[in-house]
Amino acid sequence: MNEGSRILRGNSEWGSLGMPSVLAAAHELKAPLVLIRQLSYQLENDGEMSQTQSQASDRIRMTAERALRLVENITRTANLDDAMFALEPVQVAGLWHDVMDETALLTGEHQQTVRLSVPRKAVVAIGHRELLRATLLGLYDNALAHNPHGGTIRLSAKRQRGRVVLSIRDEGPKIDAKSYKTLEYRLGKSAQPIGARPGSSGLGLWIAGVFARAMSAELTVTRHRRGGMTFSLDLPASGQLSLI
Amino acid sequence: MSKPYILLLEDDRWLADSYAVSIESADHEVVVTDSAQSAIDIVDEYGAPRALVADVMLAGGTVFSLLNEMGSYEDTKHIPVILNTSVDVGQFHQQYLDSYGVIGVLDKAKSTPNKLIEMIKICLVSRDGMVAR
Repeated sequence: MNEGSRILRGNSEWGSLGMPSVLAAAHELKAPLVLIRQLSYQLENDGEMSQTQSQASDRIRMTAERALRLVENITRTANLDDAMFALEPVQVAGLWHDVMDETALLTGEHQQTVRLSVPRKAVVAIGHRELLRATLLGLYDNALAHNPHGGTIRLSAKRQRGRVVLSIRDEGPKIDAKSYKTLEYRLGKSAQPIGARPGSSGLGLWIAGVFARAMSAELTVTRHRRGGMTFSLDLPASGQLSLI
Repeated sequence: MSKPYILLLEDDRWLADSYAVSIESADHEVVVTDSAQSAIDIVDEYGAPRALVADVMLAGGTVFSLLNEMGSYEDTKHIPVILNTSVDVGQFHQQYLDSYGVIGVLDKAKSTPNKLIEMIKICLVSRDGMVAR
């Protein structure tokens, strides 16, 4: 099969909750979030804010934008049944750069350092560009939420036996073996139990898992001995550039 | 109306107020309305606006019925349009948008006041060039 024309159909992931109610809820949430974001711009443009007020305004906007990303992704998961996703070769370094650009302000606000490690030769995966971008943004949001103040987030891409592996490593708190097993078992299948990682319901990870499955990709997690997690997305590699 | 105006069609009043502040800060006169019918009434009263900035989803329908109506009159058929929306307009063909005089589409969740002002500038240039529908 031609890799550029491969088409997959996703599955409904919302069970008895039903897609119409999810879509309606997402739409209802989106409008106030758009308003909050717009009002923060208005405050900024009015000027005459102290540094503290300006920082608060920035944080209000960034929080609204993060919530908007979640809402848009929830809408996407509900639409996977209806959508036909044409998978195509995607250069993954460009995707990571998109994620870094979109979150630059948020990253700075959290005083995080980001390190990107990609091979010199282009790494090209087979996927759906927008879903991949949304998946990586979700994983990045997750890392930001758990990384300690002044921490480092490591992004990477590598080829591995005909596959492409995109990874994001954070320096979040250590979790015990039982919580890790639960996290690993439920990853991408259902929301995480509250407390698996403090401050998170795992909704973003669940969405990332749904998107991964829609692209025939696999989402995995690794726990590090000294704390922190690595979330990896394993995708089919494209052979497109190997002829060059 | 003391000078040519921008017509802003947005049914969320607070959002409309905030967009209006942004547009006025760029020295444009703005008239705000929240429905297609009242937009027609405003055009009848004040004459054709220099540009229309409109949400897509409105109470009772979409903006396209308004655009269709405006496109059928000589004095309003060349009004450049900016769609400012949360709807994924990727579902509309460019040719379809062109036929309604849509110069640009802004995503409410990602756009900024500066982008809106820039888009209005582009609209006004396009209007001066009398882009036909």
